[in-house]
Amino acid sequence: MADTLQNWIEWKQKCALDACSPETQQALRGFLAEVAYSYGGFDDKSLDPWHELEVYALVPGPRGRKPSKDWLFDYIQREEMRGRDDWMLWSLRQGVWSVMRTVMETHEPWRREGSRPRNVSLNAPEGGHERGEGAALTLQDLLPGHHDTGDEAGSIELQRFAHPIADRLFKQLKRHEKVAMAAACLGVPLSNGVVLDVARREKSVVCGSIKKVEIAINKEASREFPKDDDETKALLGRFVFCNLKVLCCEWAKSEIKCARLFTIRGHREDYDDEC
Amino acid sequence: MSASTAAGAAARAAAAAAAAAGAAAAAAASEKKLGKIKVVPPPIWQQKCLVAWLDEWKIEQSFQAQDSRVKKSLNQPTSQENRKAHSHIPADLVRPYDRQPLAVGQIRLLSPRALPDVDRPVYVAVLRKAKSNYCLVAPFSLFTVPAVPSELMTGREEPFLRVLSLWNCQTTTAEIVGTSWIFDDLGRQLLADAWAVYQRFTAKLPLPKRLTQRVGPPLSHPLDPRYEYLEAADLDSAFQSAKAAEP
Repeated sequence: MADTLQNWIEWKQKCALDACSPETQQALRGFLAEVAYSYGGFDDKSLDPWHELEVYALVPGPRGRKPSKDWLFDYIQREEMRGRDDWMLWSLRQGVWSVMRTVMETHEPWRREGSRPRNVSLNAPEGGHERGEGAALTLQDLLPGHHDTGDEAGSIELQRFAHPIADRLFKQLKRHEKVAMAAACLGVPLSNGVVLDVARREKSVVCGSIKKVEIAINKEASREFPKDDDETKALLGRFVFCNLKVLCCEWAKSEIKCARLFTIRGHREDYDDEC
Repeated sequence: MSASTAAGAAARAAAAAAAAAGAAAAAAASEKKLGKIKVVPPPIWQQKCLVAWLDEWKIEQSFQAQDSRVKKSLNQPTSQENRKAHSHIPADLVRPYDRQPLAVGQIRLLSPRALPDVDRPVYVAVLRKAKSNYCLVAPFSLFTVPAVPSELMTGREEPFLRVLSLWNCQTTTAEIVGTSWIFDDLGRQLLADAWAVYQRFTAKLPLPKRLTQRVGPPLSHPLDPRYEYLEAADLDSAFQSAKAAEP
């Protein structure tokens, strides 16, 4: 039995589904179950989607009111305002879907099904957006260790070696690679339309150029310091990467076409690197 | 010894000297060694936080891949019965907005009319109110763990109110913020904490120690999936167009 707008209005007016007519109860429960179970991997029939919606998503505030329910019905009135009467039921369904989707994403009983064990290896691949060819990012790539800030001499030495390598690699970079590195320096997402526009390349190419730069840095570090252990070389690599980003950012400042990069809201303050 | 033989010998000697110098340089290069530098691993809480966030992100990604199929099933043709119901929508179906009083610390749920470009419930906390018509609001994240250092775990139970996105703060008009319903209040302590994280983000002030484990882990790699999230969750353009649409 398909739900109707009248069913939803009845539910809003009577507050609880149990107070509604059997037809309304059946129709609304049916609709929500359809939404909830339509996502692959989330089909534990022991969970009652309606209960989750009412108790968890449409949770009342301390004043006992449920503004989220008002939000749902204001959603349909917005469509009415837009002169789209025939879309009202659709938009209400979409509103319920949007709220239910968040429940499934964030509420533990639902999440348990789509989730994985929490003991994750630092070297296990974590994905990452369009890295280009090569392996996926690991947790270690996303959260690398830092050099010991107490070891000042060590970090000065790393900087001393990192600078000439960065200078050398900078001369070999192509324009779009410099743009990608400059965007990285500014904490701007590489998938941002302005970055792609300035780089005049597709997203996969711009993202892939970071990987290419990383490979070039690792090669240089291994060639110059074959006797050092991997951990130290990786640390040197991060110093080089950081220096290279700064060089590219300086270059971008002098390029008129790159001026737009500096107008994008970046996340530099959330960034943490070796520079 | 003829002149040509002498010249040849000199050239050979020079070449040998150059080769020796090259070999010495190569030997020196191969001996070049960095001192052992201690690498401090990231704190466990950061690793756990990122793993938990990535879990939610993966679910979000899998949902996104299925969204268009699920949404299609919501779009059923409007029956005659529904058309009849459309003309009978009671005027008092939706509670009026809590336009007043607009106060610092309030948690409000913005009406879909306030942000017509956004198709999900947006809860905001009012952080500052100017004497002019403007105020600063911080939206809540849809995720339950903070993604970046400018997101703060609130410690609240409600699914939509667990994380405040201070990077996503918006300066907007009281009219837009007032097109909403009051849900609750942040409380004095949480408001102070949110302000401290906001100031760390904008004015580079140090974060109080007690908050370090309540914010997300730092970004470090340009291809980190959190960038994709930051771009998708950015409400800047939605607030801009809402402001532009104001009379």
